[in-house]
Amino acid sequence: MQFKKIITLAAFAVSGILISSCSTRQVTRVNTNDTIDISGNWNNTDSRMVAQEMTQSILGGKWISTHLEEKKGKRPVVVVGLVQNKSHEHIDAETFVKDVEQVFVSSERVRLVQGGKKREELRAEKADQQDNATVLTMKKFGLENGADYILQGSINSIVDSHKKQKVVYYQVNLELTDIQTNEVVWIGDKKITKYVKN
Amino acid sequence: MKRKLVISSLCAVFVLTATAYGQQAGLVTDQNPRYEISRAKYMNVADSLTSSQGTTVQNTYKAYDWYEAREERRKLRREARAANAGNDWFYPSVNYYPGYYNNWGYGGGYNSWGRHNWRRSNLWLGW
Repeated sequence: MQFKKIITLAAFAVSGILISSCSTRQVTRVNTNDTIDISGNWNNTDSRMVAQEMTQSILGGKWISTHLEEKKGKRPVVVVGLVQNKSHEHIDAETFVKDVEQVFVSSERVRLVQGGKKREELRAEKADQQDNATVLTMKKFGLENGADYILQGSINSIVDSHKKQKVVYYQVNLELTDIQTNEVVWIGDKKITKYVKN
Repeated sequence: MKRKLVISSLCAVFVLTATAYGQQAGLVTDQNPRYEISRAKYMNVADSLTSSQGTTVQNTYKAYDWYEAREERRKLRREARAANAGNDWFYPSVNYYPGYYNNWGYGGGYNSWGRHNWRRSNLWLGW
């Protein structure tokens, strides 16, 4: 009888420990503008810093006024091209390039056209409409806005580490090129250096 | 016969001149008259070249990190010990080609039994 009691108590204790060990994870919503560095790798703060720098620089650039002057007030049309990540980490440039695109649209100073897969999807939708939409609502081929400029970029990094110390340098470059002439009209860069001590 | 030959030659010269003139007439100011060569080349590949627009191409490299390399070495050592535990005395894991994959040409990471020499090897660099 005594032995049964001990077994029951032990079972309760073990199950209690198991339940408590399962509920140690805590998740808290934080402000997206908060800086939280955990591993020292590229994170949302770096992306935000790049986006802030690029949006300010690209809209404040002289290329817009030059274009407006040359084209008699017609706003420049931009398409987003490739960004090459040549750093040592997986970084998706879309997190900051989207911010730049958003500023183009919201500022109404630059017109943005779709490229890549999204443009292909649009053309496929147009093709579908040729057979299925009413004649009045059907969209026609050959009336797209041709881009004046293409936005391209690259991400590079340098890592210097010894024992438990590490310095990581990131350089993000975006550049805007005139599609007709291949002339680079704007280059923006953001350099970030991190010191990590393990 | 001779007359026919002269007439056909003149016709050919006329057609060629007219074509060249027509091409020149279609050019805008300062446009390269041989632009059609480049146009023909890129018209065929435009779809494949623009399909990844708006994306990030990942050309990453592996950076040497002393601390991470040490952790990785330790992890591999533990795994190797666990794998060899119990049977390596009787069946040593002989590597018949020590240093085969070593770029430096000699089997720095392996001893004569083909067993890994953890002090001399550098797993981060792959030998």
